[in-house]
Amino acid sequence: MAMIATLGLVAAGCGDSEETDEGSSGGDGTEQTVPTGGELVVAAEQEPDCTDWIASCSGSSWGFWMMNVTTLPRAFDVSWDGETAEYVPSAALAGEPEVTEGDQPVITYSIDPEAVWSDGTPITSTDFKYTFDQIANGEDIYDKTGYDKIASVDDADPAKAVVTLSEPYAGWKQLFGGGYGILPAHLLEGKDRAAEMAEGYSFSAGPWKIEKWERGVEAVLVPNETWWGEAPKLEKVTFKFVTDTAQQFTVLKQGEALVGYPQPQLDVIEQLEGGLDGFESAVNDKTGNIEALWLNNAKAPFDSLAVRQAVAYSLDRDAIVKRLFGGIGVEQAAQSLEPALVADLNDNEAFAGYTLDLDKVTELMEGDGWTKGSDGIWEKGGQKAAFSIQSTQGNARRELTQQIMQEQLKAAGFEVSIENKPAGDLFGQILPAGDYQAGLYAQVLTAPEPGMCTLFCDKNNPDKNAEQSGQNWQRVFLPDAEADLAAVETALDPAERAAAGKRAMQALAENVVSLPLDPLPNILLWSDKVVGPVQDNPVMGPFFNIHEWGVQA
Amino acid sequence: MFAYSVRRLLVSIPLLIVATFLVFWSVRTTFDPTAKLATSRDSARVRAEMRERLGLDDPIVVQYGRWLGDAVTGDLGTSTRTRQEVSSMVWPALGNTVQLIVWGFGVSLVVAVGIGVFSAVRQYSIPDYVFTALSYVGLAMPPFWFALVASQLLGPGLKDALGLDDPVFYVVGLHSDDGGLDLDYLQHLFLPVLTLTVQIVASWSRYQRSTMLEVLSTDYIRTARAKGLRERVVVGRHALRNALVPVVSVVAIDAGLLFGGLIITETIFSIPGMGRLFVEALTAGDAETVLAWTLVSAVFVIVFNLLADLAYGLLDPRVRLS
Repeated sequence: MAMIATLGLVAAGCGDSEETDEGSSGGDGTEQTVPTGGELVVAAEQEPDCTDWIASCSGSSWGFWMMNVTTLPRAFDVSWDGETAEYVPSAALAGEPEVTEGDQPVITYSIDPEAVWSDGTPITSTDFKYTFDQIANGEDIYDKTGYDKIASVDDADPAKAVVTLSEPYAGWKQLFGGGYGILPAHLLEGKDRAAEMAEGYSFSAGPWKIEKWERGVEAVLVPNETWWGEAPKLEKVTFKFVTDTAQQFTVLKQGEALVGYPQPQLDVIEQLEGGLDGFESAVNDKTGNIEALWLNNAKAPFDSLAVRQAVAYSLDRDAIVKRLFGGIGVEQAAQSLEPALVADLNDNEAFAGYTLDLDKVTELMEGDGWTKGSDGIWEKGGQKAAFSIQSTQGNARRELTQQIMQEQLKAAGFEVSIENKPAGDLFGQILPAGDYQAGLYAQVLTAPEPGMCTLFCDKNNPDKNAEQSGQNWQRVFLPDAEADLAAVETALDPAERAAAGKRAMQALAENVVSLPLDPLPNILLWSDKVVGPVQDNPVMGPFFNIHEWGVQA
Repeated sequence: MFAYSVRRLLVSIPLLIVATFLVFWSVRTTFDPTAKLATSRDSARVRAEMRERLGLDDPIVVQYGRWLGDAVTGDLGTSTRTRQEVSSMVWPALGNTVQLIVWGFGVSLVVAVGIGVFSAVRQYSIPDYVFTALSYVGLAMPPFWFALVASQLLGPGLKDALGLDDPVFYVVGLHSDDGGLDLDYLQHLFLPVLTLTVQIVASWSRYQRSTMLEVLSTDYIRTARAKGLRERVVVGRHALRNALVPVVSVVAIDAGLLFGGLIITETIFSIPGMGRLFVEALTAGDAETVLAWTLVSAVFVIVFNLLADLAYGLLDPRVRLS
């Protein structure tokens, strides 16, 4: 998957629940007693390359879910009610920050006086300043976006971090959180942060601390005794790294692990269809993911609007989604190029008008000067309406998607070839260089911040800036929508931002700059021995509140 | 024999240099270590910084020379993927792979030699036919398929059949806790070693059977029998020793190759050995780790080939190494 690198904003275990040992609800909504003590083993599909979260060796979703969210403080958590994601001040803050708007907005974070690091030292504004300095001025930083808009951090008052932005920035709530968190200045200042953190770290200001990380084997968390929120029920959480998908189910079946969070691959769905005795599952199709047919608008045949629209009318996207995910109850195609996570900030039904309609295909193609050849494929000026769909190698689900699209498009008069490459080549070279016609992959939001300007603003077209940077790999340029796309990034007023997002998505749909397919659902599996508020959070992952979980004997 | 060994090791040095250069060249030209940063919104900056830090814009020969210069001083470099010292990644991985090889080879050697000798001595008996058929099944069976089926049957299948709360055999890792040589360790080791053993026994037992048959039909065995020696002595002392020579060479060569890792076994049973290290490093374009892996693997291949040659001399006094 490609990640729209909006910094993931997650909770360090929002400990605002007042549930007692006798009153917590189960994952199915029923009231269950959450026992204290015991160990929970989770089957983890991946592990991070390092735990220096701000460095380029980081960027692992599993690392973030397992060890970042559970150990580091942040300014904002993201709450999720099953439909809407919302920023809420984290346990590290005393309340909502004060914001002074203007050309150089000022944000004042008030720190909860109870908030301390695991050595008992209070979290202070100096931690904010140190974190900003490391990200904005450090080397080998994964992503400085947002922090490059901070003019200064004033730490004169230890209890108040006063952050001055150099310009309005709509995504300011991602700062001092996201995939990074806040770092302890008193422990890291003057030291080599990368060396101190890369192999795991002993400090914490979340419900858990890292007891051990044995690469390739497991990561073990134990309660942080200085955590000022609700204390963890479990004595220990072990994330065992089980990289083979088939083995994950074996591990769950025989009780070596009680929780799994597998990617929605075909074999996973087949296993779920077959049933998993003693386990409950939650399938969440409102995620931060959007799998789409991404079109290179600068390359034939997709430099023609009529062809792009014709392709959209050639595909029965609901049928594709039903074939892929029908087994877990997901049957409707996505109708926006933004994930459901930011549904309220764009038009989530913008592409709904594009359904299978071969008469419309004929009308559009003939209107654009194409005629059908004897082989049933459209031709124009001696060129066939042929294109390749590139994707990542070794992904059976994507291969099946390609094959279904190939069949459907052939019936509509398009000749499609399938060309799959290693993920590193595809995302590292082919897509940024624009050396493709159509790509099948997912974009992933790690914060409830729309990524549409990142993906479709002209300034982010790698061909149009000196650094050849940016993720507008589709080479989209919609002059009339540029202002709205930009406003999604800069507007501080939520209503103005949402209105601009809706208009922008409608423009993207009218021009079929790409074609959304599915939400790539999240699948969470847990044994019926696991009790507590088990739920998937598309931003923070499934383990953000694992301190509230328990295991029945 | 000492001079022969030293000469063989010295000849191996240029081989190692050529092998590591070819690997370095192919990794650098095939995998871009900055590729995973393409999804960062800051990709241009962070990738450019990484290219400069790693010296990726220098000619391949210069990059390789830098690595070689450090390697001869014992510095295998730093992983571009994990930022760890490469040596600190290789040795634990090698330790895990060695555990699999030692147990797998120990069990396999006993079983394969036993089956091979038995089948040869009882040629064309029903047990011989059964072992022959089983060995063909073992050879034809894809190891990943066997591993998955064995995991199902002997993992949750056996646990449920016996009505136990805890697994009899584990399918992940080599231990539950920090572990030692205890029951838990053996419960973890059983399935990966079984996977490894089935393949190896199927192969080695065929070698052992055919070499044993060859030896049993020689004149000196006929003479030994004519002298009235007991069959156990004929087979055990006179035939087996000579019949072991080709098998030992196969075992030594297989062992050398397998130190590079048992990719399928390690992946399926989540054991962080050399095979998994290689795959993870290769796909991330982590040339330093791949080179260290190549170096370690090549050394083992060379050493075990040498050991095979030396074993010839020990097992068969007619063989003189020069």
